[in-house]
Amino acid sequence: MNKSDNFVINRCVSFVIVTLLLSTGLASCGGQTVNMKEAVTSSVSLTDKSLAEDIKLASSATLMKMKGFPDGYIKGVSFPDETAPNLKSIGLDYDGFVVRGVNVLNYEPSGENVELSGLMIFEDGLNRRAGVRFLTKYQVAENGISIQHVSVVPVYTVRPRVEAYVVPFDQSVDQDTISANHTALYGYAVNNAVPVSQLPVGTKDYDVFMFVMDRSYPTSKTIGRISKIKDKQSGFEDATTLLDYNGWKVAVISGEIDPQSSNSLFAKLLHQPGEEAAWFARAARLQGLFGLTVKTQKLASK
Amino acid sequence: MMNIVLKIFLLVLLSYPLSSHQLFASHHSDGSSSGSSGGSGDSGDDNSNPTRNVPTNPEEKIAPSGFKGTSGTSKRTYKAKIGIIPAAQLQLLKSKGYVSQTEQNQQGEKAWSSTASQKSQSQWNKHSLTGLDVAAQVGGVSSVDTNALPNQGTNNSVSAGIANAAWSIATQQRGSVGEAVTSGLGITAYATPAFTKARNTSTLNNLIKQ
Repeated sequence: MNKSDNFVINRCVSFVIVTLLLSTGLASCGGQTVNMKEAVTSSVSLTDKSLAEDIKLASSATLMKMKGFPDGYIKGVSFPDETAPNLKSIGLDYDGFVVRGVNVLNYEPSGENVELSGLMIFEDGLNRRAGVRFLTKYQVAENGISIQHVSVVPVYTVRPRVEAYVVPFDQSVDQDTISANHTALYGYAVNNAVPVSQLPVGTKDYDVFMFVMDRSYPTSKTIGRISKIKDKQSGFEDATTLLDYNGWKVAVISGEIDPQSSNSLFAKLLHQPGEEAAWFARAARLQGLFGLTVKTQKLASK
Repeated sequence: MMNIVLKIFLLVLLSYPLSSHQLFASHHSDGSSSGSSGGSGDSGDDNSNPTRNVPTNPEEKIAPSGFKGTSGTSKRTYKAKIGIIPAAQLQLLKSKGYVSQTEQNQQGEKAWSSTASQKSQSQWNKHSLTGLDVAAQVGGVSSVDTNALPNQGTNNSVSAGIANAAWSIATQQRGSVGEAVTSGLGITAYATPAFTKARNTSTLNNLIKQ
């Protein structure tokens, strides 16, 4: 074997090692993301008879703990506070949020000890969503379970749902009041939205409210743009106000348009994942495209 | 040895951009625009192809023709103050009948049709305020199932605390969401004779994401 062969072999070995290192590195970064739609669809109700009883008990106990219920609310479950030190920091104790069921990700019985991990997606009456992934370790007794450890982390979708509403601007409305919290702003937008096809002829002042309906990670970015081009992410940002309500983000584009004109105008919402996603998945993506004129309404749906 | 380590280090530096480029390139091939057809609804919830919308021409400095940004007295002052959602607001929204208003979604013009509001209405019913209790949160049981309560008269139920049914949730529904969530609910779960056995049944495999 000559020097040249050695060099080639060296290069090949080095390249394989580097590739392995990179793959490991890529796989380990990020990881707090979830496909919420799939998670909701495939969740199993905690009253489903096919679900093992200890899974029901452990999942329900975790849910109740997240909601702030003390130990003892579920008969048959021992759940000391010290076993779940991080639950209070999750901030998911929202009134009105419900969980359809649980997605069991991993279930490992070992004798009487069980390790269970799963997903829960919370939804509320306004169609807002937030998710958590939990890990529960417990011991099975004759008539119940004894929880030894619970940890919960929020999970986020990299492709959140977006809703948009076009609202005629009303100078008399107190903007501080309606934008004080997310629910108030959403209520204002929905209550005052007018279909584009029913907006009057002529240039008038409007607000285009675009709501990200899935809770977003703090370092993720919401971008609101208006553009005459449909097929690109590009657009004008200077007329956009960005609001962040504890992870529920809103982009408001404010300005004068003539909805009945032949102008091509689209409102766009881009979502750029933050540290919750692997670094290579953090590119901004167009999540919402809305036609602002009668002409562009049809185009946006194509 | 030192030589090999040095080579690996250099190769990491050299191959890094190449690897990342290839990663992105592999995702570009799709090219579909489900993201850009977005709108409301569940259209875009898919993590499988996270980079197909790499920005090409990000921000435009000039407003598009047909649009004029607000200025002067019309300048908006929207400002998020708190993130917590008061339950009372939900009540208020329902009483205003917000669900009958228009709602835009990805269907374009259909977005403003009555079907959208019907959808919202059914969605609202699903999560109606009276149902927004913890019982619903753990599966939608909203009333006491007396058959599921333990039969104290039988030996096995007394000795082992075993219920006739696999699972029951006893609820005491109260009027408001906040009350139900914070104090208005008692939940009781009972184990069954099949409790331990059920842990290893094959049905479980169907529930675990493969």
